[in-house]
Amino acid sequence: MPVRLFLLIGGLLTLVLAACGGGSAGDDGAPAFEVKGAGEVIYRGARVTPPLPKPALVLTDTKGEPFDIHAETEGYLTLLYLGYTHCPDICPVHMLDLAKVLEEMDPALVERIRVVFITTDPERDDAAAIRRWLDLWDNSFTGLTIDQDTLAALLRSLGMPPITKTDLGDGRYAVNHATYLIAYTTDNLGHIVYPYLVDGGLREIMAHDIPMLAREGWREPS
Amino acid sequence: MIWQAEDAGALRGSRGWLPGTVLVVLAAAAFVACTGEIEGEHSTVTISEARARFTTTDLGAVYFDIHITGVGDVLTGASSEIADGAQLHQVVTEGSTSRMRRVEGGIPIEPSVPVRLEPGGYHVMLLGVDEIPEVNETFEVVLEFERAGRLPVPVRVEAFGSDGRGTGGGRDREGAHE
Repeated sequence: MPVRLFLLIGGLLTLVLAACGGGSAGDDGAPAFEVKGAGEVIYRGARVTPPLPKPALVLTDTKGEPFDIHAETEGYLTLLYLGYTHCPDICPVHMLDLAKVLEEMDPALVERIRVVFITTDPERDDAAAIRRWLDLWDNSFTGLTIDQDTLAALLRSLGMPPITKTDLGDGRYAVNHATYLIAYTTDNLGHIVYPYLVDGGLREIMAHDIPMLAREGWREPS
Repeated sequence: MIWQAEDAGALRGSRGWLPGTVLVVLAAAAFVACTGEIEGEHSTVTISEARARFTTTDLGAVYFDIHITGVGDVLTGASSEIADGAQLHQVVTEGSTSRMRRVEGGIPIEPSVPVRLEPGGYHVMLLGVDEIPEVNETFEVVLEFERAGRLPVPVRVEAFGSDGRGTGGGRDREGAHE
C-alpha cells in the first residue's frame, strides 16, 4: 500500500506542479506524466504500482437491480469513477471529458468499455439523482448506490483517503474525495488512473490511452 | 469612498458590448484614503469570460477572469437573484484528493496579474438555485470588491451536457450492455 500511494502521489505532484507553473500539461505536447516502455510512450495516464484491485462488491444500480461488479464487467475495459452529483466542478468535467472521448472513438471499441460511477455521497445520491446526473452525458453509464460503511471499506481498498465534508452552511456540504478515473483492464486490475487536470488536457490524455486499453488490454512497459 | 462604476450597457451601448465583459473605471480619488500614493492614476476592473455551469442539482458554479490595472483589489463576495446564496470557493488538490474550501478573506487581485476562476481552482458557487436558467441565457451576478464595491456582471450559461446542451440529452446508448 505505501508503495502504491507513493507512486500515485508522485504522479499527482507532477501534475500539480505543472498546473502551478502556469503552463498546461498538454499545450507544449508534454503530458504531466507518461508511462514508457523501451523508450516509447505507451500510456499517458498515471501508473499505479502495485495495481488497484477491482472491487469485489455487489451494489445496486439505478434501476434498483443488484450489480455484481466483477460479473457485470468481466471482459470489459472498466472505467470506475467515484464522485457525487452535488459536485460543483471537477466530477462533471471528468464525466464530460470521458463522454466526449467515447463519442469520438470507434463504436466497436466503445462496446468493449463499461463506465461505472459509484457515489461518494450516499446521503443525498439516490438512484434517481444519479441516473438524472449521468444522463447529462451518457445513459449507458452505470450508476451505483452504496452505503456509508461499504463506501468507507471500498475507499480503503483503493488506497483512497476517507471522505470528508466541507460545511457550506444551511445543511449544505461539499464532499471531498479522490478525483481520478481508474481504468481496469481485462485482467481485472487498475494499472493506470486519470486524475483531473485543470487545463483540460485530461481529454487528450484519455483519448490517447482508452482506445488502446480497450483494444489490447494492459501492456506491461518493458 | 468616491468611485464611478458604469454598467456595461452604458459603456458600450446596450447591444454592442462584448458579452461577459464589464469594465469599471475607478476614479483615483477613491484610493487616496486607502494608499495615499496613487493620486492621478486610474484603476480599471475587467471581468471577462463570465460563465456558469449547472448540472442536475440546485447548485451552480460561476467562472470568470479578473484583470485589474492601477491598484489591486480583493474580491470579497458575490450574490445573485437566482440563488439563495453565493460563496467563494477554492478547490485544493492535495495528494490524490480534491477538497473544496470556502475562501476566507476574499481573493486578492494584484494589478496587472489576471486571476482566472476556473474548474479545479476558484469558483463562485451558487446555492439554492430553484430555476436553472437555459443554456446561453444570461443572468446577473453581483461581485463585491473591497475597493470597487458592487459590480454587476452578466453571466452566460454554458453548455455542459455532452450534446452541447446544459441539461439532459446525453448520448443515447441505453441498453448497450444488456
